Amino acid sequence: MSKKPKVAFFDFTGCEGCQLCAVDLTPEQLFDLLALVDIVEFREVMTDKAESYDIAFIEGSISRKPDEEKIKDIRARSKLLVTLGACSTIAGVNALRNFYPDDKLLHLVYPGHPEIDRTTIARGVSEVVKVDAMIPGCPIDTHEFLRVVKDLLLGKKPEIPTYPVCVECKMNENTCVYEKGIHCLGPVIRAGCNAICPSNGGYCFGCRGAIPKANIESMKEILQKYNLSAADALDKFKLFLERDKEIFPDDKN
Amino acid sequence: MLLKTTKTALLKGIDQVLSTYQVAALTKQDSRVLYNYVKTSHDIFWGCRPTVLPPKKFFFPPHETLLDYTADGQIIAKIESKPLVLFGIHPCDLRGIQILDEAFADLHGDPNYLERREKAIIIGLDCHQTCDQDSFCYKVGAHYAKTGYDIMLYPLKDDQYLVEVATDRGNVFAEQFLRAIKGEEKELEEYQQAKAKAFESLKPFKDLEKFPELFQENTHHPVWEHEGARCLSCGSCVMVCPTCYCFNVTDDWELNMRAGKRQRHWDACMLHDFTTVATGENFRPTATARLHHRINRKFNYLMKKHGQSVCVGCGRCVRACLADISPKTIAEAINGEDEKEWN
Ligand code: SF4
Ligand code: SF4
Ligand code: SF4
Ligand code: SF4
Ligand code: SF4
Repeated sequence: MSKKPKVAFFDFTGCEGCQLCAVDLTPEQLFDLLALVDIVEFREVMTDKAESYDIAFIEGSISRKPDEEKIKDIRARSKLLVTLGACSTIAGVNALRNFYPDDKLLHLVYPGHPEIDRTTIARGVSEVVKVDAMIPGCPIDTHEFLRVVKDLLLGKKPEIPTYPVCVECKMNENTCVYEKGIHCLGPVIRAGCNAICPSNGGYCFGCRGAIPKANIESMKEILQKYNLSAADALDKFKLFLERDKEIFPDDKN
Repeated sequence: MLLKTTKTALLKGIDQVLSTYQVAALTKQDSRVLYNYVKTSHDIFWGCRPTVLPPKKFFFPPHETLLDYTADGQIIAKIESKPLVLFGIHPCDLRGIQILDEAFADLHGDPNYLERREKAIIIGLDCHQTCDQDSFCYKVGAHYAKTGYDIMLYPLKDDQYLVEVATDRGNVFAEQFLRAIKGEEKELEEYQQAKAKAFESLKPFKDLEKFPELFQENTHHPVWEHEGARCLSCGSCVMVCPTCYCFNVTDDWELNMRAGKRQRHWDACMLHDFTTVATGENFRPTATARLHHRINRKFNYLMKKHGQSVCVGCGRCVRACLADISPKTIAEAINGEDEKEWN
């Protein structure tokens, strides 16, 4: 029997893109990874199952009743539980469904399927069970995934940046998109993506979640100073961040 | 030594230099003006426009590898450096380089910075007016370069330049690459008189030489809270500052766990976790405390050490700050230069 740590991947409500990013490796990287860990469960690529796990990576939001039981069961059988991507870390785009009442939503998304009769609001995994580490982003960054794996194997607390996207954006010598009249959430959003959106003609819409102690009031004032209405400014935050407690601390149910 | 030359001769000279050295200068890329390596002298942007990052990136890059190491205990120190000609550096940035030179030579010295710096020839280009409304070099006297260059160019009429050769290295360089005639001291005097006139209405900070004491006394001035409340702790001001030099060091193992790299990355005192220590305490937990610290580094703590303002007034942090926080505003509140009620 191998003594290597047992690693498993599970998916809930999500697009499976983060799982694909996790295995988007060069052949050398794959062999190196498999020399370090045993992947014992991964529906995307294999059918095996295991009793317990050293590290369970969780993709997707918790958005149905059975999800809750399933995630609690995985938690009980895992030493470490790590979220994989925005959907599992902060509920991500799935949380947009939380703005619709159930009946309206089900009719809208699954017309003619009355058997699909129940969902809960979409939540991040940490709203249901204890989470030991997170890998943010929509999708995740493969390098960051590998770094977190290495940190966990070395017994280190994984280093996920607590500083905002602006830091990386400035290191990349971008002109701030605000100068072009484009609104960007970079100042309050967690770095680690190398400011990929503003560095490539886009802007940050917040997929990696808010930094701790983000100054949301000042951010809202800035969005408005740059001619965004208060309502539109709020909408900016809702695409990915509806369940992010840094941004919306009070209205949680 | 004072010489005189033309822009055409300078362009020719640079193209010649390019066969031996890397040359970095101001360049235009879409809407940005950046310090960058040039392929020909035609890539150089001759205007006086502020760059996003200061030239410190050539000596102290945002990311660099300090050591390669292996699991069996081998450690190999690394310094990547190449001879470099930095062309067209404006006075504020020359002063920034001078301050970093002192900082990185302090105590045991920083071999990576010093080796890169040692291999660089610096050619300055004087400004005879301010570059935009955010710059305030004149408030701290940084619109005049005192030192920090091998050669300084002063723009005259009709694309002519006075060339002040300040170091031996600059002399060798000028002899090798620059076609020039002798310059007249009188022409430099006239240039300086015209410049002084252009800056006549732009006065330095009131009581600039007393800033360390003034800032020491005004730790509880309401301007700190007033400005700090808006601060996003985004760190942009630090990233773009020519005299900020804090860094973080990380160890990055390869996936095979047999070897790794020790790397350093720019860090920033304005970021929330900069002063978080292993036990979880944070010495400067509020944005106001961090802003107070950063500005005191410029006008108090390090000003005492370097004998001059460590803010060179380049205005980069002002341009970068979405919350419109400016060292100039704060300094004018502290020295009473503005009439504003901050309470
Ligand atoms: S573009 Fe966005 S991330 Fe970049 S500096 Fe501006 S606000 Fe920050
Ligand atoms: S820039 Fe913003 S939206 Fe883009 S990947 Fe990074 S965190 Fe996500
Ligand atoms: S800030 Fe002053 S010294 Fe610097 S480039 Fe502008 S005008 Fe020149
Ligand atoms: S750029 Fe402005 S908002 Fe950002 S940390 Fe600096 S002072 Fe604060
Ligand atoms: S504090 Fe601001 S104005 Fe002063 S040198 Fe730094 S970036 Fe330039």
